[in-house]
Amino acid sequence: MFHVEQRTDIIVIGGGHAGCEAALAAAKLGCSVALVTMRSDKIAEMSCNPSIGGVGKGQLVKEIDALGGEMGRNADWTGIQFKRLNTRKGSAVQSSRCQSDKAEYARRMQGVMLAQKGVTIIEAEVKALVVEGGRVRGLECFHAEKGRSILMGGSVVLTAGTFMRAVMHCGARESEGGRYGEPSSNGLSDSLVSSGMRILRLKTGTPARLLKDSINWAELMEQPGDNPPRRFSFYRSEIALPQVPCFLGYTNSDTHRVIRDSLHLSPLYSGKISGIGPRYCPSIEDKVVKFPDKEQHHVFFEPESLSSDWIYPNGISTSLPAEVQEEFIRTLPGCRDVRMARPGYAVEYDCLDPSQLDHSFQVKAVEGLFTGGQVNGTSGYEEAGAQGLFAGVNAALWVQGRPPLRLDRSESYIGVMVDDLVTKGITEPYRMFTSRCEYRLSIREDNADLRLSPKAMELGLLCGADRERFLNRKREIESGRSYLRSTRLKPTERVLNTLVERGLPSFTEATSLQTLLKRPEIGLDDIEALTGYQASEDPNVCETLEIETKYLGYIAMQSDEIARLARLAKLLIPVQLDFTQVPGLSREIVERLGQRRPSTIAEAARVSGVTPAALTAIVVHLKKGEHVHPQ
Amino acid sequence: MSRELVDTRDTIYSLASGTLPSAIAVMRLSGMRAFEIAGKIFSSESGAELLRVRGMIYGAIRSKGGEVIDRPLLLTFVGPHSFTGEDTIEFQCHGSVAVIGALADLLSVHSARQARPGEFSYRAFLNGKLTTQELVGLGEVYKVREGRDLPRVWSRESDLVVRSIDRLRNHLITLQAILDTAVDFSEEYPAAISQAIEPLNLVIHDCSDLITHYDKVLGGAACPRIVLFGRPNAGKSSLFNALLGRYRAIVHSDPGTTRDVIEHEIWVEKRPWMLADTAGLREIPGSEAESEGIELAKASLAGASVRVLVVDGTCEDAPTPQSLREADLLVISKSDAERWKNRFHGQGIPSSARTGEGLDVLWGALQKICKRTTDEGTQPLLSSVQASKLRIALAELEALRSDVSNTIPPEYLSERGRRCGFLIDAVATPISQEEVFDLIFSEFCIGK
Repeated sequence: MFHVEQRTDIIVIGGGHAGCEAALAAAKLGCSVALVTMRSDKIAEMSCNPSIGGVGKGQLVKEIDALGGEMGRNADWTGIQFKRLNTRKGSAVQSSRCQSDKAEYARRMQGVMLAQKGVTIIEAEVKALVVEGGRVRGLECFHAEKGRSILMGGSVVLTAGTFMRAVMHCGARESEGGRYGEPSSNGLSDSLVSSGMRILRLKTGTPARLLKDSINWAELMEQPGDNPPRRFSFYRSEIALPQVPCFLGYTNSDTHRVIRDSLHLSPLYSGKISGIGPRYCPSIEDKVVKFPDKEQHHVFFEPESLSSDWIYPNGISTSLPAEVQEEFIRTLPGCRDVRMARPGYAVEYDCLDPSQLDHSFQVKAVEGLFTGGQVNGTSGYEEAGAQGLFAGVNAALWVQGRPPLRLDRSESYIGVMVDDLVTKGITEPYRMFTSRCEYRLSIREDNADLRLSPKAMELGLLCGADRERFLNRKREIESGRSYLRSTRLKPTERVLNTLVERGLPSFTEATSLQTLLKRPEIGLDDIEALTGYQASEDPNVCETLEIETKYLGYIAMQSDEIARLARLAKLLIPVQLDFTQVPGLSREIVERLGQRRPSTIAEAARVSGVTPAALTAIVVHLKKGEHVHPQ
Repeated sequence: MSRELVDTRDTIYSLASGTLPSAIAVMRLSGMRAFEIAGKIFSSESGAELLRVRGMIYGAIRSKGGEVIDRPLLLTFVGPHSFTGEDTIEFQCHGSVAVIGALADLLSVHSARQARPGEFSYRAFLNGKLTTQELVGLGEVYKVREGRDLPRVWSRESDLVVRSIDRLRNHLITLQAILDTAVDFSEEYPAAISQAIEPLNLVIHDCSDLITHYDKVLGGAACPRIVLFGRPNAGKSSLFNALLGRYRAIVHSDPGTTRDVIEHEIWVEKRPWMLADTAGLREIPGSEAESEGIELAKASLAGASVRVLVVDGTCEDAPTPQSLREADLLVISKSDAERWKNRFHGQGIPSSARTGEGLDVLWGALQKICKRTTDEGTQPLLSSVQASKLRIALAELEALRSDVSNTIPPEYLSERGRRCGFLIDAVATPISQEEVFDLIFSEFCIGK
């Protein structure tokens, strides 16, 4: 018998990193939220590496934080090593990363979920979507004890991760499930297909876990974190746990020989796995086969938790049989007598072709259905969290009849990711890289709050003390900017002496502080030594002032480009436009445009293979149309 | 293109043939109302009505009062099967000023309007009959003065150019892949930037190759150049005047040239060339103005098709080995002077601008070289738009090369690289970031 539960505003399917952000954001916007998960004790589980951030990903975490999300704070409270990457490079592409205590990470996030007003957690497996008249009405769930039930909701956010029709591979062994020891979710993807959606099949993998005391650590190189560690969050958080090092070692010719000799046992090479894996995160067997000239590959030994003795060997994800895994890992330095806590495996799963979504992550074919995270064909906790938040916010706004949150490519990495997924679709699991972002000199980690927190405040995602903190920081930065711009420094004897003392080149004419700070060798600390001016006690304010001044010329250039694209974005392409009627488009371009259905010229420009000439042709065709059929 | 041209509802007319009077003059009428208007002013010999079909009819144009203005041949084109893609009528009239004037008045009375310059082509473009590139190409066809250049202008889209641009584009993708690897995968490849210089040099080489070739024949649209160069007082200007005095067929001074490079048109081997006199080249320029002139001379030399080195036969200073290498022809001037001596073991052409000695020999040699140069240039060419975009890209690439050697941080380099990618958009398919990633993931082992 069906048991109909009470109706909620929003139902979130899945309690991973996307689901958590979706539920929290929707609840903060005042919606009642039911989060359905197969196992509530696995909420916010780190299925793969125990870390948050990285190049391109740190930017996403900062943006989640700026929008009032939880990932950055949670990473701060539970991080056991923090590191800024790309510090030797320019600051625009600096990214934060931390090792997390995986157990603490999940535990704290579960606490936040329970504490959030408006969020209810329901343990059940979702069997199907209830769709009526092209609109989602709720879910059909199954619970081992309660049996089948129907859950009604105003809108549904699907964040099922890698669990839809998931199959795990370890050598010849194949088992159903989306994560070690957990079942898969069947039925949901059938339900999506019957609602008219295209499904893709992807693959990802994870390495074996090793036992800490079976490793001879003296043979590995210690990799300490930054001292002092720096937080992700712009807002209230603390780095609370003791900091520990990671260790580095390399594979060698023995490792590669073992792997090569056992390739026929890998389901990747026997043709058993058909799902598409990420090229930027290849399994160790892929690395050995595709890059035979590389004599070694690095392996980072990362602690999973302060309270467990499991080690995550980053760099050797694999689906070879467990015995082979043990054999090749034993060729690594320090690992002669290693014991595996658990073998690595590959997982194949269903995801949606994300080009079926609109720019608010609502499924075009099913009203009220929003999706986020790995179901949209991405990989990574940070990508998932950012999408979850975005989908959760938009589901809530939709239920409330408010206009959707749109994030542009020129203002955020999230905007880049959403636009990439929606306009280009995917050919492999999507991961963020700074190169995906056209404006990475102006879209940086340090200014994520300046870019996005005003939107969060307007929506109601950021409140109380955090609001105050943001406004304060903004004020300090603005006054710092105008001081640097308007203050001129004369090359007096005292100034010149200070320059010599600090080993800096001198100057001859009165120069603005801004111009001085633009020079690569001069920092804000030098400005302070020269003038006594202290921009702020907050090092983050100083950092932003310094970075944006250094990049000033380039940022101006990018602003021009942003303005140009904004103009193109205003040129709307009518939904009913038949691209075959546009003269001068090749058949291939017509096909691609027909598939993607860009809604503006700027979007059309990003569909791959669309040439500037094709864009001109569309613009001309539209202009001509305006004239022939005046309104 | 002015905004008014977007108005495509008007039916427009224009004289399509040359200056009146002429044997035949062609008046074209294009637009939605072309057949309607023609039907009102034209009656066929057979008395049949003017139907909206493709054809050729003989008949008479009559004024409002019914008087015959002319007896033309009428060609009818039904859109989209016409140059503009619209309904088009072509009146092949007798080429009298009076006939064409009266016809124009008559068309205006029936609310057709005189086309603005370029409006027919613009409509063809709007209607998908011409692509932008074809438009540019068409413009250059009109500029061609030499039959030999026509095939090259028409074959612009041919394989050879496409292939060399493709190669350039591929090198550019490689370059971008390395620059982006240096930013996004610095942990895996901390020294990626050091690999950038090789593809960068290849792109620069390809790019300047295309431009040099374009300059050499100037797209067939303008004249290739013969440049006289050499030390100051070598006798270049005298030789320049002597050659022009004796051989110029059509002379018109070119006011667009700079004060330090003087050019005149001259006909060699049945085609026009530009003969250019440059400032004397020497290692230590005397004044700033002179050094500016020398820079111009060098630029002129770089774009030259034929280089004539003029050496003073009365002077002991030997020309630099580099100028000897660059020269297509060597002239030893002032052969009438007492102290004249050939220091080149009998090589070079002795000449005197004053007596005219050796000028015919020089002329014969020039003819041979000019013929060879034009025959060589059988490769298809870039359009002028493409060439100018490539020139900007080249400057950007060279700036990038100096940035790379100055160890500028990679995110700046990557930005510059991307700009180069945008700049070749006019010439090649835009480079997508996916193509860059494809290369990164196949060439670099990424992933911890």
